[in-house]
Amino acid sequence: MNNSKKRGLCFAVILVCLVIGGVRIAFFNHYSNVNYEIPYEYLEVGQWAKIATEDNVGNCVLTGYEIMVSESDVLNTEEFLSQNGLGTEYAGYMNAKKQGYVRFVVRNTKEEAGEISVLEWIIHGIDFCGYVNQEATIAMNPEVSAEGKISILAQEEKSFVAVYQFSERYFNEKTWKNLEKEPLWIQVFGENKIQELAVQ
Amino acid sequence: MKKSCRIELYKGIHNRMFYVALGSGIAMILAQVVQTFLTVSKNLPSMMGNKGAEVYGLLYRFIGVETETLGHKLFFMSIPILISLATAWIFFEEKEEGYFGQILCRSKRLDSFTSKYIAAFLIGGLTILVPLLLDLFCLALFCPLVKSNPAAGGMLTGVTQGIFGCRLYYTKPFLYLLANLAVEFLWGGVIGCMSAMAGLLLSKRLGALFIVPALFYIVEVVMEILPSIELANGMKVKTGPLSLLYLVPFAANPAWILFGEMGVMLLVVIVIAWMKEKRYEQF
Repeated sequence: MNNSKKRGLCFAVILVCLVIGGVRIAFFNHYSNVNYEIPYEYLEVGQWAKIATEDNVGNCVLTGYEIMVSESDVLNTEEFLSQNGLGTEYAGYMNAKKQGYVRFVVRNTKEEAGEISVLEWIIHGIDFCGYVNQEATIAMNPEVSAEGKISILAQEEKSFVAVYQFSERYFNEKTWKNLEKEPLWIQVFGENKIQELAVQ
Repeated sequence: MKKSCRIELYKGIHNRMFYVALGSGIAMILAQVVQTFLTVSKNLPSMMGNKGAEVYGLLYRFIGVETETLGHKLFFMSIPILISLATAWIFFEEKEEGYFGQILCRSKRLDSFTSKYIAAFLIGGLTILVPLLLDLFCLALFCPLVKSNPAAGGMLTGVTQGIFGCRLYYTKPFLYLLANLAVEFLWGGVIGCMSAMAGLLLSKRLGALFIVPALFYIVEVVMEILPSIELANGMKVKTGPLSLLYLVPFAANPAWILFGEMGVMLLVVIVIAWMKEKRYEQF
């Protein structure tokens, strides 16, 4: 077999592999009945999100709970402390330069009392995420237990504040400067969907 | 110039050592693909429609993003050696056999040097790019194209702020993959030029083959031993060349460091090549 025939054969084999592979990829991702990607639902401030029955957050079964964001802000730590009327005793909990403040309202739609964790609500932006500052959050919510749980009676609504700390060293300069304007969400797992609660 | 470039590229691509380097790279990629297949096929069915399925998605499992597999570690560790094999070898042989001297006598010096380095750049780039494309293709056969979840992404993949192309990764994943491949190609090109220079300058075959990989490993080890470099905001950055080859290292690799380091390496090659060309030494 001469060189040009070998080359032709080689190209033909590659082409066939590419076509078969392409069909497989297309079928696998678009035409099979399997949905690998869980759908997202975006909710505004003040809109309720139903928490999925299957999901656990902070080891509390969240059957029958609904949650919404009622207000929020991102502030410098000093501003945050003064705006919330907090004394210097809170400053020890807040090592980061900026603090995110999210007020949640939780509704227990069940016929029995229960409790949910206030520490597990991850905040995220387009390409970053932040976690609840446990000490500050527990300190700011007198009703929350030392384990970070809040008790809610049947058909009762309660609000709590989650404090998120943002350290400059985890952010690009541009994002850090505009953090107050960056879109932020709280992710809540619903039944077969992810609900994104807009924070700002 | 165009013609000499084409000839150099032809010689480079039809060089035995290029096939050896490409074959070795592909073997490592296939090892990664097999390991990934075993993990994904075992776990994906139970994750369908659940949170966390993105862990078995293409964006997470691509060799340029994940860190778990043996193939990944081998491939990124051996890139300098593979490219050195593909480029330094042929240029060293041409010099030793007097072939390059003949070319220099019969054509423009600048053109000869330039076309050699352009060919070395392309061959080096291809040595990385072909295995990476193959990896992407093979993984796409069984890893779903699922967007990464930013609320979990940073923890799972290490793609956080400060990492090259972070925002693209979460918003336009295909563009991110393209950018990732393009940067890897550029890295391959830069290492290819360095290796070509070693092949043309050094008189010992082993030296020509291993000087560039050795430099990469030594500088990497030194950078790891030295205290971490921090940006003004306190963000830790990676500066070791081997760490920067992999685009999701365990610290930030902003674009200016990535391209700055590549640019410095390329500049050194250009300056040395230019000086050699001016001196018109036939080695």
